[in-house]
Amino acid sequence: MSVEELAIIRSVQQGDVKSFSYLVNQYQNVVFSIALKVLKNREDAEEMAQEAFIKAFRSIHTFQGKSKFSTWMFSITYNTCITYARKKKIRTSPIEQVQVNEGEDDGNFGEFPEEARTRYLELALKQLSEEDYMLVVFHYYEDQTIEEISQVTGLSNANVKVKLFRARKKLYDLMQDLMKKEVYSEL
Amino acid sequence: MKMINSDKELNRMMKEITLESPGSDFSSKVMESILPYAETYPKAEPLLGRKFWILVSLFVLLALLFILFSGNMPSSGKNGMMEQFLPDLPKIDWSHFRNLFSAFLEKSTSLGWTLGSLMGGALILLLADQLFASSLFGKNEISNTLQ
Repeated sequence: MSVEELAIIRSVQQGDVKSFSYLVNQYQNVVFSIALKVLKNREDAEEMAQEAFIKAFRSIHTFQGKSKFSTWMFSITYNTCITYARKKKIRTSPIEQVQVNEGEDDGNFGEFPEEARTRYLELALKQLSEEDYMLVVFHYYEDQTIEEISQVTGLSNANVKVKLFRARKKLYDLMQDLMKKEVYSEL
Repeated sequence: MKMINSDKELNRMMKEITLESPGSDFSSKVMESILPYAETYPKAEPLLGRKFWILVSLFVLLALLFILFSGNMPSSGKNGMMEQFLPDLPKIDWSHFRNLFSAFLEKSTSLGWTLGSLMGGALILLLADQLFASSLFGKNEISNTLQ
């Protein structure tokens, strides 16, 4: 967490409500995309993302900066969305503990043509399950550590590692499929 | 080795993607929704409150006054520092107050000192308790929020 972000949080805690908009702008895309992935509907996702920010604001006085603000914010988001999905009976894939097995090897992302890499990645991310999507976004987009992801999801560190490895492999396979399809369609 | 490369490569690629974003008025909607809560918002209190600093300031002020008027400063000559800076001030007879203070010290029994020490100790314990409570509460702030 940056010094600037911590100063903004302290300022909100001391009653400067307007400073909270910085935090909203900073995290709205990640919060919304997690909500969208879990709820699969833009309206619900926007409503729950808003709800997550309201919850965060209401309990920001309990935040003491011992964890990253993003970790704290994503925990609130994840729990708000899961609770809403259960209430609305939206099907979600629950995060389960898995057997630790790290024998396999994943692919090399550098092999994809540079001009199409980002497009393949964005398309592949859309096809990932919400659990894999969250793990990949938290770790690779938000630079959350294994321990921080473990705090958000409630999984053990070893499980986060294994699941992250599998999610990355799945992402690679999806990107390869997309590339193959594109190559065949051009022939 | 391949795994580490793949990890770094994906990390670099992820920084270039654009995530799904909510509507353009999302931020203003959130800010509007939090305003009603802002009224009843519990603000963070500093560990040592205003009262504490007022008491400390009073104590410092009294100590300063005592030094200025005591006339025991090495550079104060016969009449104390105040007389050096403001020699035309009307002279106040402090001996009466000094006698009162000396009498108080003489009459203070060991019971008085014990009570004083107990109060001082209680104050220190109170401060320590506040410090511990705040650090313990902060330890698990994520689970505290989610409950």
